[in-house]
Amino acid sequence: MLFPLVGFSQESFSYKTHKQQFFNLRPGTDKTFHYVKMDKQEIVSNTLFVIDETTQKLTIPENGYYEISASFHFNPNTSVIKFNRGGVNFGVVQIAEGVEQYVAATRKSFDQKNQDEFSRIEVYPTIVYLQKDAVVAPAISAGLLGNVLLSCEIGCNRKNKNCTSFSMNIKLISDQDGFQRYY
Amino acid sequence: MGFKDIIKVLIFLVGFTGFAQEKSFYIRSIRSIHLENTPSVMQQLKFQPVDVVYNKITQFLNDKITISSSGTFEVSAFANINPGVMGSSSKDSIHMELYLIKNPQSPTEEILGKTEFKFSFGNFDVAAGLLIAPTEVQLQKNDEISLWVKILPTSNIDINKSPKYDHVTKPTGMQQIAGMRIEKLL
Repeated sequence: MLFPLVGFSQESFSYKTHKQQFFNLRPGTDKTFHYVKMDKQEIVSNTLFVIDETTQKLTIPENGYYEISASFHFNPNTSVIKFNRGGVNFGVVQIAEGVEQYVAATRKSFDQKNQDEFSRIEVYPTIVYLQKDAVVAPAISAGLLGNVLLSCEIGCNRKNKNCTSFSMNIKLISDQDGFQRYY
Repeated sequence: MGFKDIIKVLIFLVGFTGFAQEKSFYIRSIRSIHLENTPSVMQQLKFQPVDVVYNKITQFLNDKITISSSGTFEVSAFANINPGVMGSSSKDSIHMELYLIKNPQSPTEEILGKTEFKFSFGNFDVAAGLLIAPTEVQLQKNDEISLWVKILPTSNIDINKSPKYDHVTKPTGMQQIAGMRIEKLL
């Protein structure tokens, strides 16, 4: 009877979807975050965030150290990268005190070999200190691009429609006091 | 056991859960790092104490990260690298490898994780993420863990040779430079 109490110590959130989403990434817009739309039906488990029918954002419940990971199955769907710049950013953004920034992120550089196929982009587990009331959200952004990428896609191949197009895990690993200015 | 004792046990357990902390280590560089244009030579990406985000399982002394107690661990790492040159033809290429190494330059040296990346024409001045996927490894107390880069001799053009240029750097639009995670599993 007491063990479930202990089990609650590690609050976590897990999300997984096979749904498709499209993005338009433009050169010179590296400060614009394109947020991945999330659906409450696709939450695998959640003991971390307060989520009800009206919830629109994932709000950090308490100060602490959080471990964040994410996975994107992404296709630039283009032929314009060729021998041009193809740097795209993938990650989890923190919105706190009016500042939007990646707290966990991976840079993927596309070239002529993978500009028109799906790649798996992983944000491996990253530990960060987050403050209570910070909002966290998965996002994609233009990093350093030579050309506009229209209709980039998070999704799955026709042959494997139920792949994981996007997943994200966040867990509170310590409620110890801390501070982190740079991520 | 009386009612008061049960309450005491409950308070103890709730208190205990409040202090539950994962046995992990996470470090990321907050400074960009210069690489030398020396193919085949291992170059260490050094961290500093200020780079530590979270540490329950290692000691960080004199630039060395050492494991505090033996066990099974999961290790992973990344570095964002921009060669900083243009290249002149589609045949040009720059190949690099990123390594996570145990006890470098000692008899017990072991590569714990490795990844290769080929920069191609058009992207020699664009940062690419080199990632070492989480891998389960056995580590002993006092094992030293470090992150290294090697430019492969198959590269046919130089990286930016300016001593002022830092190749391991923040990609445009994000601030992450290089990092390493160690989690104690058992």
